[in-house]
Amino acid sequence: MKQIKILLVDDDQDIIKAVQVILENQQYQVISANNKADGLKKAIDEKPDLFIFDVMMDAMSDGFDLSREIRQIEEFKTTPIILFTGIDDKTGVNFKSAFGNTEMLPVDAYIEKPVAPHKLIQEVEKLLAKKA
Amino acid sequence: MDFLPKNIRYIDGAYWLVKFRWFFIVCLVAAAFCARNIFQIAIEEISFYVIAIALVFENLISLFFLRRARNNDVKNITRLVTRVINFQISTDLLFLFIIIHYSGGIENPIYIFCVFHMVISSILITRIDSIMQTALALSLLWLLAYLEYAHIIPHYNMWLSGQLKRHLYDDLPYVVQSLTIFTLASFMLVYMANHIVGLLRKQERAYRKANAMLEQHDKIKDEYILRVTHNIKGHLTIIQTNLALITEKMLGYVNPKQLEFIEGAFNRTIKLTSFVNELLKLTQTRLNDEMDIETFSLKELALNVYESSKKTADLKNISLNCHIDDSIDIITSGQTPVEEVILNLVENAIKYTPENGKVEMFVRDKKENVIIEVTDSGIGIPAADLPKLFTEFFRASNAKKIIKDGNGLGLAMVKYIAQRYGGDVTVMSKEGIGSTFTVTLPKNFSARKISRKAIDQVLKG
Repeated sequence: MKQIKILLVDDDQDIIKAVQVILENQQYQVISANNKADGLKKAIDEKPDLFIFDVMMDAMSDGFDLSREIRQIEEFKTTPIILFTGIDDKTGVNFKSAFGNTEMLPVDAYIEKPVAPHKLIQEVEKLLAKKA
Repeated sequence: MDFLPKNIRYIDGAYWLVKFRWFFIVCLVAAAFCARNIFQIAIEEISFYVIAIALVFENLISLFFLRRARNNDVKNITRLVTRVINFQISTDLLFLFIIIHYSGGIENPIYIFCVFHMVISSILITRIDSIMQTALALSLLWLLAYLEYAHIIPHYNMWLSGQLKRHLYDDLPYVVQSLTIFTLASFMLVYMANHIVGLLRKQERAYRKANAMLEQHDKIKDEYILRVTHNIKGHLTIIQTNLALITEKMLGYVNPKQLEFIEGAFNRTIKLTSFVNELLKLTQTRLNDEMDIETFSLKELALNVYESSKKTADLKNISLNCHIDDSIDIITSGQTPVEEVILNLVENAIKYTPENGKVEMFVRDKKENVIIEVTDSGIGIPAADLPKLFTEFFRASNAKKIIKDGNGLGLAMVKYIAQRYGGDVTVMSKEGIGSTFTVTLPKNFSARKISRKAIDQVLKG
């Protein structure tokens, strides 16, 4: 069976390291990128089975923008996307008021930071099962 | 600290005058009736009744124009209400001198009563207006004295003057001398009253300014806290995840002793994270100028909180009950903030109630408000701690003993939200018996808020 590939985009190297350990422990292959542009490039090159984006990287809404751009690509129309968030995130802008109705966003799941390993694994498994 | 906007002060003043006049009308009728029928003083009873009726009309006209002024564009309120107050005071003066005429004219010292009008107008309206009113009062007084002296209108002998040894109204030196002194005294009085009122207003402006500055500083402090907390949270997040990798054995075997210490550190980071999150939430709510105002079912919201808290209560075998008035349903307020308030109070009640205890939540309908009440059979709050209970970071002395690491932010948040949405929170408690927290919130928040905001804007401009 082909190994499942996950693309992780986060500007914090320490988070990438930790999440990599968690997912590799579950025999997933993890590819990582540090910013939006690099993330988009790796997505096209590597064709991952699942995406994990940090909501805020260089700019406020990088995670959302990246999700929208990914969804524009035909083959990623249904690929699961998980977003890392701090619900009451940076700069004091409330999640809901900054992005409007979060249900309208092209994202499958939100995981609040700090990431709890078992929760992340659960979510990844759930989304992959749904896709299969 | 809250200051009354200028136009609200005027409106209050105008209504106060109306209220006082109702009282005066009753007194006038009673006095006229008693004077004639009990003390047998020969007064023109009817004329006093006519004046009383005229005063009733004056009140009705004032009320009518006040209502119209209040419904008017906010910009015009101050001007219109000032006009009503001026109308009231001038008309009152006119009636006062008619009463003086019928009760002895210049011989009756009752004319001194017009100093009240002078003082009231100094307090309620502008300096120029109050000087005009004083001038009107004095002109009427001199006119009355002249008309009686010149026998253009009749003089009524009664009251005290009925027993006078000789008449004073046609004693020119007496009339001129006493009225001149009264005139001088009146202008001095009005000058002083205006001066004192001016000082008070100046002081109020200084307080207002200081208050605005404090608010500004408070905001800077909040922004500072937000930045610091956010920075801490960023690092904390990674520390917690990294520790979790070890405790969940994803990095391989650790010996039990090592694990024990790592778990200790991990548990502390969880507590620290939750504290940081609470602090972020409170600071963000305080900094957020835009308010969420929605129309939602309070009944549904309260029941949701009840359902989710029921599990926590069951764990401690606490009986949690929820009573909602039948008439409670849709309200306009902040949905998430109100949920936060109820959740905070109920969870707190459960937290500080020993096993097998009782927690009850009530949602009551009270005219234009809803009352949310949470009562517990918990440890209660020491009387000495009650005044500080809603202050940030404060925790009651007995609460600290039971639960070591509460953060002292929950109730501060409750109070902040309640006041922001036009309500308030109060607490009643007896140590060892239990506590009752009562939150009052207006059912229809938006309307009230906007009108107040509009008023404030006008005042600033």
